[in-house]
Amino acid sequence: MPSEQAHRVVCHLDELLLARGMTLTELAGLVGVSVVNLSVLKNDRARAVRYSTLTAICDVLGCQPGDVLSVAPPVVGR
Amino acid sequence: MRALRWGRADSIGLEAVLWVAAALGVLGLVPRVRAALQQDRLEVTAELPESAVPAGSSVEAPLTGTVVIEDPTGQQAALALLPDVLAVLLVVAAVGLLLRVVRSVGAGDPFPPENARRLTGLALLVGVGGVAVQVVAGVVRNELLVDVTVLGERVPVVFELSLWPLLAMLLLAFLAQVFVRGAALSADVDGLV
Repeated sequence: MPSEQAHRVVCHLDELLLARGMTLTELAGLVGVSVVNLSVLKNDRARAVRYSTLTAICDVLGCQPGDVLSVAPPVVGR
Repeated sequence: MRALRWGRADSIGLEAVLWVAAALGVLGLVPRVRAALQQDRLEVTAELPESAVPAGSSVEAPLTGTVVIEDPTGQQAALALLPDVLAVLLVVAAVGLLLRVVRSVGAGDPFPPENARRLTGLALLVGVGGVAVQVVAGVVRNELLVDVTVLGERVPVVFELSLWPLLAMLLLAFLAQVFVRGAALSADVDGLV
C-alpha cells in the first residue's frame, strides 16, 4: 500500500463553486455533509472520499468526479 | 438495539461505580491499618496439622482454623497488612485505567490507540498483579505462622493459587486486541469525507 503522504490528489471545489456562485455552506447543506468535512476536502486535507459523497457533490454541481478531483504531476527532484 | 446504545449518562454512571469501588477498597483498608498501628491481635487462617483432628472424630483433614497472634510485633502487623495494601493498590490502578477508557468512550472516541494500551496494562495488572497478591499473601501467612505449633506440630506450609486472575487477564488481553483493531480501523477512516 502506498504511503499516506504520497497522494497528489487535488480538489477543485473552489473553482466549481465559484463558477456556480455557490458557497461551501450551501453545498454542504445540499450534499448532506458537514461544512467542516467539505472544507477538509476543498483544502486537500482529506485522505479518502466516500463514493456516496462524491456522487452527491457531482449531482449537486452537475459535474463528473474528474471535474472535482485530479492528480497533480509528480514534483521532479523528490 | 437502539435501547442498548451507550450514552453519556451511562458513562457517568459507570464512572461513579468505579469511583465507589476504588473508595470502598481504600476505606476497607482503614480499619486494618488502624489495627496494625495499634498492634492489635492478629488472626491468621491456617491449615492445621493432621494431629489436630481428634482421634475417632468424623472430621476429616485438612482442618482449617484461625490462629490468633496476641501482641504482634510491628513487623508482623506490617506483614499482615501487605497483601491487602497490594490488593487495594491494584484496584486503584485498575480503576484509574478503566476510568480513562470509560471517559474516552463517553466522549465519543472509543478507539484512540491509548485505550488498547490501557486495556493491555489492565490485563497485565489483573493477571500478574492478581497472582502476585496471592503469592505475597501465602508468603506472609507462612511467615506469620513460622513459629506456631499446634499440639507440638508445626502448622503446614500451604500455598493456594486461584487461576481466576489469569483467566481475567486472557479475556482482557483479547479485549485489548479488539481495541487494537478498532484503533487501526479508526485511523483508516480518519480524514474520510
